Amino acid sequence: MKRYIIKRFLTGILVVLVSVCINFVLIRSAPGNPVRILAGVDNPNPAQIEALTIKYGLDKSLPEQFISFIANVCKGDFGYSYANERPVLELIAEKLMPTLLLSLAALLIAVLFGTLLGIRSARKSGGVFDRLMCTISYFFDSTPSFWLGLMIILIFSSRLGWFPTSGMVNMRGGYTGWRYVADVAYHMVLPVSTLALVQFPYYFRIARSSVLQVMSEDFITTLRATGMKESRIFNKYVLRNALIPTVTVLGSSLAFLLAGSVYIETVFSWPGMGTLLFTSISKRDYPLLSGIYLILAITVAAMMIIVDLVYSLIDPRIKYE
Amino acid sequence: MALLEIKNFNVTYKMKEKEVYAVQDACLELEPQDAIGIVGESGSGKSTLAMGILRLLPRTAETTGEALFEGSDLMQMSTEELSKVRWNEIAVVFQKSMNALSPVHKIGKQMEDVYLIHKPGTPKKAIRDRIYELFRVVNLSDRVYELYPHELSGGMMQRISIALSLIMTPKLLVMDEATTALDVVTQSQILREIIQLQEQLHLTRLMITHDVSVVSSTCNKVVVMYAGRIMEKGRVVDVLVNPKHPYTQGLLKSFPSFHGEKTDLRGIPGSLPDLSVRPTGCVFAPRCPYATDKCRTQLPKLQSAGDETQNWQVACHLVGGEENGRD
Amino acid sequence: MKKKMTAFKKELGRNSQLRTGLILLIILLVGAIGAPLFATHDPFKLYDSIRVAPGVDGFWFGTDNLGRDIYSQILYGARTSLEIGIIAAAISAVVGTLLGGIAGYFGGAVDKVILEFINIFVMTPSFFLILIIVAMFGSNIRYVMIVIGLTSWPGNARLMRAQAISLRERTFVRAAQAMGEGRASIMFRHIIPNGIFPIIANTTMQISGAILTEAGLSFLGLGDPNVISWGQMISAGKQYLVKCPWISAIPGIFVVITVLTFFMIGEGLNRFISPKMQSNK
Repeated sequence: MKRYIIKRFLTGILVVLVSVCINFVLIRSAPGNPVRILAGVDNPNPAQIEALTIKYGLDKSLPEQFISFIANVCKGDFGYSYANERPVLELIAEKLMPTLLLSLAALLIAVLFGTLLGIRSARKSGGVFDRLMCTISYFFDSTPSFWLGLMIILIFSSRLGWFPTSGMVNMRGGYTGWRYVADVAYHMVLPVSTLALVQFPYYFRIARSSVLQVMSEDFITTLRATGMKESRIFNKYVLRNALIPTVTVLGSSLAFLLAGSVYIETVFSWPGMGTLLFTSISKRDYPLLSGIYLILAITVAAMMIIVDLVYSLIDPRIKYE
Repeated sequence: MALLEIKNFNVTYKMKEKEVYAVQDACLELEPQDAIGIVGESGSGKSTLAMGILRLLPRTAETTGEALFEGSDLMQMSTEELSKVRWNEIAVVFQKSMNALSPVHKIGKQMEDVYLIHKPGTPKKAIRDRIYELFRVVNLSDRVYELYPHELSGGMMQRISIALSLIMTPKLLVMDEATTALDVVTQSQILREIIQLQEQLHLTRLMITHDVSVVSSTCNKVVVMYAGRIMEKGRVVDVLVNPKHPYTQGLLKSFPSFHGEKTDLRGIPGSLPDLSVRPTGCVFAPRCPYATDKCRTQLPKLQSAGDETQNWQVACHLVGGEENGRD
Repeated sequence: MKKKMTAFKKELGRNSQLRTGLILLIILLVGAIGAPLFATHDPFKLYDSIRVAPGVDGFWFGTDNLGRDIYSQILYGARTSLEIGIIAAAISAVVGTLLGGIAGYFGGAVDKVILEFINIFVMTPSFFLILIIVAMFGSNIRYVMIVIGLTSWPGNARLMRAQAISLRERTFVRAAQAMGEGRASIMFRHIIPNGIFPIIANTTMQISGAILTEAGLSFLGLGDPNVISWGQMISAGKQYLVKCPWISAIPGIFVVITVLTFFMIGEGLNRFISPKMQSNK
């Protein structure tokens, strides 16, 4: 077990290193010069350009830049954003929370509802409820999240006027304390619902098919033969077995979720990582881009490893050497 | 009174396009402390019959007929009545014992749970002692209690299944191919243990197997099934020594002799008939080397063969009896 | 082969998902290929009727903010979506089949290396990689296809690896080995053809994913500006959402239908492969 944890941890570090490596090379080899953008395209001043190039270490060779980047990261220094004139880590820290708030709230709702509905569907598979839910889940699975977001804004915000169109908080409100929290929650309703709607089919299908699969296992027949009540068989034995797949996919779902939130942030003008990523791309803000990518890679890898370990705890069949 | 009496039992699987007649017109009696073996090829309906009387078949299966357990019909019981009979009176050892328990719950906990269904409120300590006692009966160590099913071998899981089946000291034990998946040594060891247990606990046993040698070494009565129908039934000393039905004869010939003599090791030519078609005559007629026109057109009934005390019945036109007699 | 065709025809009769999916696919293909025939207007031309509601002035689906005919744009946009979806999924299928087949069939150290490679790929946030690559290197439609294809193969590789591991123990593969057939030849003549079916089903589903990704990139403004794309059309209507909702709504509906089509075909094929799932239904 200990060996397994260490092995997973090392793989995680390797993953982060490799993805950062790819990302670093890609960003630096792409067309477009950040110094030129910073210095202003209209009247490039050669002296200024040279000064900026030296300041950001862009005159050194790529491997040198990479090594100094990694060394700095290990010290907790993610570099300095050209465009924002601020440390990268500070910028990311500021935007990470809104994104996590959005993503995790949506994840919670999607997992909860998807799983519950999936279980309900499987109990009477082939019935009206099941068929209806399968159709609905197919539909949302095929719907682009950004388009769904627009349609939801159109209906619930523009037409009905129930919820705000965009943003995280009413800037003019000047709320503090619980009023602030309530206002953020109010602004979260539409984006979180959109994200949860496009994510839930995944958990719905996993829950449904694994419940169906477990119900056809031999041990269910044994339990029936012992005279155990159907409700107890289901609540204690079927569920415990059927929820394992849901837990295992949670690890990889974070990457999808963060990807989904980029669209949702764009549609709902949510001040998160998606927006930050977007501006950093258009301004070719290399340190910021590398930083964002690194944070994402670490978060996703960490989540996967954690889920793997949790999985080994809940499923006794998994024994790591 | 018979412990279990099965009368005119039928199981039909209703599929989208067709109906499969898996068991037809089965009649069977189990006296207390009998050990009855039901033998037949796979697809003969022997497992379906057993699962049918226990009401453990999927919803697509429709059953008719009676299964009287100590006089009350299992088929007509309410769910509550049935769950009182289950495991208290009738316990089962299933075919695939490797998957007989939930893979993510500890073995001891699952057995505890089963015990609590029938004796709710029993102190944990008492249940634990009962389970340890059963482990000793089937030659397993106490530490198995804390293990998960995948941590045991097939033979050990088989013992667990047997221990679990005995937990409420049932009157009737149904063993559905319970030793088929095991190697020969483990199988004979477990069979020996079962016979001992039966004597100690005064069990009645219904053994379902395709292995005639298992029946001959552990049972006193035998029922031979083919294509959903009972072909021949009686005492092991009669039926397996001097089989009257051509099918039983063929089945015995396809197994090596118990005494190690080299006999003609041939199977029965042909294969099982399509169970979705109701045959007009004897179901075995297409494969029977002695089949006559009557066999192909008229369904033979189970008729007494031999004398009264033997209680030996055969469903064949070629074997004596008033209705099925040779003519 | 003929036997397989009859089995397939029989399956079509039972499997309504596969049937509906294939019918929709044919309609989509006809629409995309015959776009010049069916189009009522020039999709690139800026007409004077700006933001005209559907049905007005002979514009069936109305016009967008620049006065382009939405109906004709939808037809040409189908070409983009289908092209990207199919080519990206094909790239993913080829890479995944080869790597998975090699890993599963050769086993040993090769398998370990490829498996670790797959694990690393699975753990990287591929969407952001796509985003960065497309943003950095320009949004040429070819880049988009290749990048989507090269980031989505691990699922196929895992499927093919499992297939190869079970196939390599089968008698006909053993027999081929015993007869001295080379490893590469066995892989291409026995392992891949016999294990490909689940990959075909999965690839069909990946077409859906690729279409969604392309639409998303276009929506974010990272699509190829030289082609008509449904994602760009949705994006164009964003500013006029309240007054002219059809500009965004209509192309979105077509994305949903197209994605649904490939999901249905993939799911239908899966059901065809493992009839066990059917009995669950």
